[in-house]
Amino acid sequence: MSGRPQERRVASEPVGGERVDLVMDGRTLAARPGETVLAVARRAGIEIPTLCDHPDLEPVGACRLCLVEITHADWQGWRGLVTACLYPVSEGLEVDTRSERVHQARRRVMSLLAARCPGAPVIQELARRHGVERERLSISADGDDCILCGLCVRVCETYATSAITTLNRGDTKAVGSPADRPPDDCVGCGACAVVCPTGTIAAGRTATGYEIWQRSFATSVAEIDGDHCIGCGACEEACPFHVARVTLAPDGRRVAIIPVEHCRGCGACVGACPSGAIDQRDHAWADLQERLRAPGEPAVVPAALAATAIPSPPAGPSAPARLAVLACHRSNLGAAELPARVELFEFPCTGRASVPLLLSGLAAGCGGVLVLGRHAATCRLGGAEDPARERAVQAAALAELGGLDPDRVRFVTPPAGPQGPLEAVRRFAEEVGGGHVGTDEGDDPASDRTVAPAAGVHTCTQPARVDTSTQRFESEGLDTTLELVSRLSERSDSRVPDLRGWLEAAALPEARPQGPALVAGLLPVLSYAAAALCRPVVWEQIAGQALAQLAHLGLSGAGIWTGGIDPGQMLVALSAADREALRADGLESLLLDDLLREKGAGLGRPKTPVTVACDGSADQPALIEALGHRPVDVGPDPLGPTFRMTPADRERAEARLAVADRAGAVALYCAEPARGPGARPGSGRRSGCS
Amino acid sequence: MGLAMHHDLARVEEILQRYPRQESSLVMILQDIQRSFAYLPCEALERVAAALAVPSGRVFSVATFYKAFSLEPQGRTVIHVCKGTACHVRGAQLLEDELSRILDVPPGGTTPDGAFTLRTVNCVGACAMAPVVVSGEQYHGEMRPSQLERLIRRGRRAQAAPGAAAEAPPAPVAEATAAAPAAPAAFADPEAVLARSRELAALGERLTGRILVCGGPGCLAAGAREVHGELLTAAAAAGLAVRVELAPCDHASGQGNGGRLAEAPERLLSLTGCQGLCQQGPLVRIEPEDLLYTHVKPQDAGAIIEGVRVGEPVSRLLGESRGRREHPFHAGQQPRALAYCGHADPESLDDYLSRGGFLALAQALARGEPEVVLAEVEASGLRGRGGAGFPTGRKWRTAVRAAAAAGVPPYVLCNGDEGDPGAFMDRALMEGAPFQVIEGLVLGAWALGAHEGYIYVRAEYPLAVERLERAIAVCRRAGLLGEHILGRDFSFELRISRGGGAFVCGESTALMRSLEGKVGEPRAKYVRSVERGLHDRPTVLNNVETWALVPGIVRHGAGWLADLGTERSRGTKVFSLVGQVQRSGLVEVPMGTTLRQLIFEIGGGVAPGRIFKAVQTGGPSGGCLPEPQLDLPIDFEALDAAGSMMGSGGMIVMDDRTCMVDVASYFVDFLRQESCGKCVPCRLGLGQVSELLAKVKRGAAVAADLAAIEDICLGMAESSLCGLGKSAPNPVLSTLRYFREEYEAHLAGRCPALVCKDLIRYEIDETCEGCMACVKRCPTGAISGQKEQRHTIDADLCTRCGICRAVCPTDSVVVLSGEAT
Repeated sequence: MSGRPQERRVASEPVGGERVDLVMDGRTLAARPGETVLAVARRAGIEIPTLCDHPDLEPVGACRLCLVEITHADWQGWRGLVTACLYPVSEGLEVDTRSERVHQARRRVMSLLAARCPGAPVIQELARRHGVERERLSISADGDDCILCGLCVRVCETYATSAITTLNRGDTKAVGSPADRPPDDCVGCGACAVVCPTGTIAAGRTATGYEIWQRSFATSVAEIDGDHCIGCGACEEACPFHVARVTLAPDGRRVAIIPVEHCRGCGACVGACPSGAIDQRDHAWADLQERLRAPGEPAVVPAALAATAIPSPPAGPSAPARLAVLACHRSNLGAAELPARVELFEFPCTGRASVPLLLSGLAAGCGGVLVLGRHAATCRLGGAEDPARERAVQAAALAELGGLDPDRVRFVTPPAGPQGPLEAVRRFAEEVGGGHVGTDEGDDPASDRTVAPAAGVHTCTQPARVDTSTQRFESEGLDTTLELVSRLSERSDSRVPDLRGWLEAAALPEARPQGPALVAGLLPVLSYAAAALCRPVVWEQIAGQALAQLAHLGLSGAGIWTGGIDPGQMLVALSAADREALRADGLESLLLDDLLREKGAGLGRPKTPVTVACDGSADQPALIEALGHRPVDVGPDPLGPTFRMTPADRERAEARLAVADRAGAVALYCAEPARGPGARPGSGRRSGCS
Repeated sequence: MGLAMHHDLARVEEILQRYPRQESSLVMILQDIQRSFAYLPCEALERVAAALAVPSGRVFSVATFYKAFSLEPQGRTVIHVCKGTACHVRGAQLLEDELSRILDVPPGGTTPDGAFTLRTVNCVGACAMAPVVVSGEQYHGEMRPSQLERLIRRGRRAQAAPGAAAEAPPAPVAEATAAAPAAPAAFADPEAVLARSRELAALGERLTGRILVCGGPGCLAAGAREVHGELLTAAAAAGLAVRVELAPCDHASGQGNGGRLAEAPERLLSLTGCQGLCQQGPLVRIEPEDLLYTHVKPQDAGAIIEGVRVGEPVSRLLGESRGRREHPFHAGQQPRALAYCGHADPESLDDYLSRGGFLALAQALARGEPEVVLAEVEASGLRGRGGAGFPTGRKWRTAVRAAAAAGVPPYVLCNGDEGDPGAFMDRALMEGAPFQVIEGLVLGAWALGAHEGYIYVRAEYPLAVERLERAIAVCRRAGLLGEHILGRDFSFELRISRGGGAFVCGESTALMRSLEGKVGEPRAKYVRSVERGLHDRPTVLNNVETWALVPGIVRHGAGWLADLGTERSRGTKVFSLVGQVQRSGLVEVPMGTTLRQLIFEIGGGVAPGRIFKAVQTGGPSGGCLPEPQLDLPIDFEALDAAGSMMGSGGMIVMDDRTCMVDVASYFVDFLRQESCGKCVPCRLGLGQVSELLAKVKRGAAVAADLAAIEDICLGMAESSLCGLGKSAPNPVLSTLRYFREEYEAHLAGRCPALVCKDLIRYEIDETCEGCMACVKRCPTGAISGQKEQRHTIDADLCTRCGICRAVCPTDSVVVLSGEAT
C-alpha cells in the first residue's frame, strides 16, 4: 500500500521480467501486470482527463472522468466502462479511451460537475472542452466549488496529520474539520490547498502568517544580518518565491534583502547562505546548535588525547547513537513514538537544511543526520526542499572526506502514508544508530575499554586489527585512521586531483560564486566536526579549495587558519602552488599523533622543510618542528569556531595571513581555535591563547 | 457542566473497556456511547480517537457518516417516523409533516424544551403495520395523522410522571449475554448432538400440544409480547398445564427430565419467530388443533386458554380460515429458509435441536470432509439471496482457492444490514431463527476453512442483535462455536457487528469498510472481495437468507433446494409482501412463481374497490412493474430483464392511490441521503434528479425536463462506482418506462393519484351536513363554516394533511387535481 504512489511515479516501459501487452486506441502497448490503465495511457501519451488523481496519492475513482471502455477477446463481446485510474491491465485487454460511449459518459459527468462548480475555471474549461450543456440542471449557487475529489483529505491523511476529513454523507457530504472547529491537528502545511483542483480551499499569506482552516500560523521568516551578508546572491537563487534579492547598499556593498511581509518562511535561503548571514525566526542557528548538543552529554574526548599523555576520562557504558532528524512540519513526527535518542528538528521545510547544519549534527556527536523529504508536489512552499537533497549529498561527501561513513548523512523521501516518515526514521535508526557505539571487539577486556561519550564517536586507545572491509571507520580507531589516510592519498591522486574535479565529484556547485564560498564557510565546521570526532585526517584537498575560496573572498596569502582543531590534530593547509611543489617533494600527509606514538613511521616526511605559520602557543612550534617543518608565529587564530566571518574577521585574517606571508610561510597550522561559546573543556594541552 | 462531563467521560472509559483498542471497534464504541448519552459528545469522540490511536478527523467522519449517530443532544423522547417504502405509500410523509407541525421542529430537530426529537428512520422492518411511528422504544402501527396529537400528549404526560426522567440507559448487550440461560455443557462430539436431538424430539412428541404466539416484527409491534404474558397468566389461573421451555435443565448432560413430562401432559407456550401473516397480528396458533387466531389482544388470553382447555375454538378470533394449513396465505408457499421460523422459540437451543437443528453440522463434522459441504452447496444451485444472485458455490470455491493462494484463512461474513425499506425477511430470520443462521455460518466456515466470522446487523434491529448475541453465547458454551467445535480440530469465532444506519453498507465492499471501523464507502470491485476483502483477506459475504438455507442443503442434500424453482434460479425466495395489499406479511415461494400468484393468490390482491397499479421489487435499486408484467415468473433474470431486480426480497404493492412520480421521487430522495457521496454521478446526479422530480411534482416541469432526468439517470447507471449508484436510477427509469402517462399528467398540472400536494386541493362537496368535526380538527384552521351549513376550505391555509377527510362522517371531503372547479 504505502509504497504505491512512488511506484506509480515510475513511468518507464517495463524492461525484462513480467510484462503484458494490451491494445489501447488501436496501439499495442507493453505494461507491467497490475499497472493501471491510466499509468499505461500516460506513458503512451494518451490523454485521459482526471480530477481526483494525483501521482503521490492512492487512486480512489471518485470523479469518474477517467472512464474508458474495455473489452477482451475472451469476453464474448462484453464491453464495459471502468475507471482508468483503478483498473489493472491484463494480457490482451483492449482499451478504448475515446469511443462515443466514453465521451458520452464523460460529458454526463462533466455536466454535473459544471453545474456544481460554476465558479471554478478548471471545471468550466473542462466542461467546455467536453461540449457540455447544463441547461436543465440546477446550478449550484452556494459559492462552494468543492467537487469532493477528496485530494485534500487524502493528502492530509497521507502526508500530514489527518486534520481535515469528510463529514456526513450523500449530498450533504463536505470536507471539513472535526466539529467544524479550527482543526487542532492542522500544521498549516497547506498541502490541501495546493492539491485542490478547483481552488476552493481558502488559504494564504497574511500580514503576520499563513491562514488556513480558520487558523493562523506564524511565518518563520528569514532575517538577514547585513553585517555578515557577502552579497553573493545564493539566497536570491534559492528563494522559490522570488522574495529574496540582492541590492546595492548605500555604501556600494552588495547586500541581500528579504522583505518580511512577503517571506513565506520556507527557509530555503537560510540553507543556501554560505556566510551564515541569514537566520530563520523560531529556528535560529544558535538554538539548533544548542539542541544538537544533547544536554548532559559528556564532552567529546579526542582519541588523540586519550592516546597521548593525557589521562582519559573514565570509561562509561556504551551509549546508543543519538540521531538528528530534520523533518518538515507535516511529517507527523511531533507526537509519534520515535526511536530512543532521536532528536527531532521540525521546520516549515527541510530546505532549511544547510551543509553546515548537517555536519554540525555529526560534530555534535550524532550518530547520523537524517533529512526527511515530504513530496514536494504537494507542498505549498514550492518544493523548497529539493536543494536539501543536494546538500545532504554534499555533506555526506564532506563527511566521507573527513573519514566518516557517508551514509550517516542522508536525505530520504519517506514512503507514502501517515506512518511513512516514522518508518523512515526507524529504518534509519536501525541502520545507522541502531547499535550501541563503542566496540566490544578485542579479547582483552582491558583493551576493550571504550570511551564513547557521544554517538558515532569511537576512541580506541589500543589499536585492534579489524577487517576494515566490513567495519565502519568510526568504530576502529587509529588503524582505521591510518587506513583512511592512505585511501585519501590515493584518492587525491585519482579521483580528486584538483579542486574543480573534486567539486564535480562531490556534486558541489562550482562556477557560481556561492559554490566555493559555501565550501569556505564549511571549513570551520568541518574542522569542528573533525575535532569532535577525533579524526586526524589529511585536509589537503579541503585546504586547497579553501585557498581558492579565500581568494574569492579577497583573502590572498600563503595559508589558512581553520579554527577548532585540538592539539593532536594536524592540519596543514597550503597554497595551491606550494602544494604541488610539496607533493612533488613527497609530502603527502602528516600525522602528528603517529609521529609521537611512532606509529606513523612509514608515512612520508618532507624532503624540504617549509615554513608553517602557527599561533605561537607553547607546543605548536614543537609539533611543527617534529613534523620536519619550520614554525613561524603569526598571532592568534583569525577565525572563530563558527563558520561566520564578519568583515572584521576578514580584516584580522588578512592581517594574520600577511604576517605569515611576510615570514615566508607556505602553510598555516592551527592547533588552537579561538575560544568561543562552542569551546570544549577537557584538553590539558591547550595553550591558553585567546 | 464540567463536573457532569467528568462523570460522562468515566462512562466513555467504561465503554472503551468492552472492545479491543483497534480501529475496527470504532463503530461499535460509538454506538454504545450514543446509547449511553443519547448523542455523541465531542469530548467523548476526542477521547475515543486518543484511545484507539485514530485521528480525530476519522472519528468525526465516521460519527457523521452513520445515521444512527447524532452529534447534537437528543430530546428525552425520540420519535422516529418510519420512512420505509411500505410506510411511504401508506402516508408516512403526512405523519412526518404533521409531527413536524405539532412539535414545531423540522425533521431531525429537537423541541426547545428538550422533550422530543423528531427523526426519520429508513425502515424499522415492521412494514406490515405501516405506517409506523416509533416513540422511544414503543412501536405504533397503522398510524394516522389525526392520532398524532394524542400520541404527543401521552408522551408529555409520561415524561412528567415521576421516575420517568431517571430512565436508565438500556443495558449493553454484552451484559445481557452474561445473563443468558443456563449454560449447557459442551457437546463432546457429533454423536452427542445426535443423541440429544433424538431425546429432545421425543420430549416434544410427548407434549399435549403447543401454543405459539407469533413474535415476528409485525406482531411484536402490535403487542404480541403482552399477549404472551397474558396467556401465561390465564393458563395459571385456569389450571392448564403449560410450560415455556422444552427442557428446562442442563440438557447436554443427557439427563433429560422426560419423567416429569410424562406425569402431567403439558402444553408448550412459546413466543415464536415470524409466522408470516404479519398484517393480521398478533397471531396465536394452537397445535395440534391447527387453529390460527388473528388480531389477538391481551384481553383475549382468557378465552383462548379456556378454548384450549375445553377443546373449542374461539371463533371470533379466527381469521379467513380456521387454521394455517388451508389458509390461502400459506397455500403455495414452500418454506425452506423459513422452515423453522414461526414454529418454535427462537431463543431456545433445545427447540432448535429437537427439530433437527445442528444435525447438519454434526453430520458434516462426523464425515470430516469440508469438500462434501462445498460440493453439496454447489450442487444445490444456491444463488445469493441478497439480490445479485451470484452462485454461492462458485463464490465459496473461489474463496477457497484465493485463501490457499494467499496462505491465510478467509473470513465469512453474514450481511444482515437489511437496508431495503419495505424488506424484513432478514430481520425475521435473525430474530426468529438465530441458531439456523449461525449453523449456516459454522457450516460455511467448515467448508471454507475459516476461523473468524462476523454477522453485520442493522442497528435498527436491536432484538435481532440481542437474540444473535445470546444464541452465539449459548452455542459457544455448547461447543458449537469457538475452539474445537464438537471436539474436532476446527475452531470458529463468530462475532456480531452492529451497523450504524447506512443503507450503502449493504454493499459488500462498504460493509467490509464499516466492519473495519471506517466510513462505509464502497470501492471499485476490480479486485473481488473473495480475493481481497475484509482486512485485505479473502472474504465470503452472504446474506442472512443464504446462510439460513445452508443447514437444510447440507442435511437433506442438494435436491432439497434444487428440486424447486426454475432452471436458472433454484429453490425458493422469501419476500416481504407489503404495501397496499390485503394480506401483507412474510412469504416464501418457489422461484418461478408468478408475481400475480404471489400478489393475488397469496396476498389477496389490493383492497376491494382499488385498482392494482404496480409492484415494486428490489428496494430502492429495483423498479416498479405494472399489471401487464405480473405474469413474469419470479427469478433473477426475468426481473432484471423487466427493468427491476430481485433484490433482497422486498415487494411493495401499490394501488391507484399511489403516485408513481412520488414513488420515484421517494426513492431518489432516499438514495440522495443514503449515497455515500464518494463518486460524482451518484452524489450530484441524485441531487439533480431529485430537484427535477420535485419540479415535476410541483407541476412546473416541461417535457425537456423528463429528457434531462432520463439522461442523468443513464449517466448514473453507466458511470457510478458501486451498485448503489448504478442501480439508483432503476425506480425512475422503470416508472418512466411503464408509467410515462403519469409523468405527462404532472406536466399538465394533474396528479392522477391525488398525492402530490402542490397539484391537489381539498374541497367539501354538497353532501356536507355541517357537523363541525373537520372545523374542530383542522390543524391550521383552514376550514370555516357554521353548524349545519356546508363548510369551506381555504386552499391557501390548507396543508393537505387529510385529517378532515379522515374525520368526516359523511365522506364529504373530496380531493381534486387538475382542471379547475
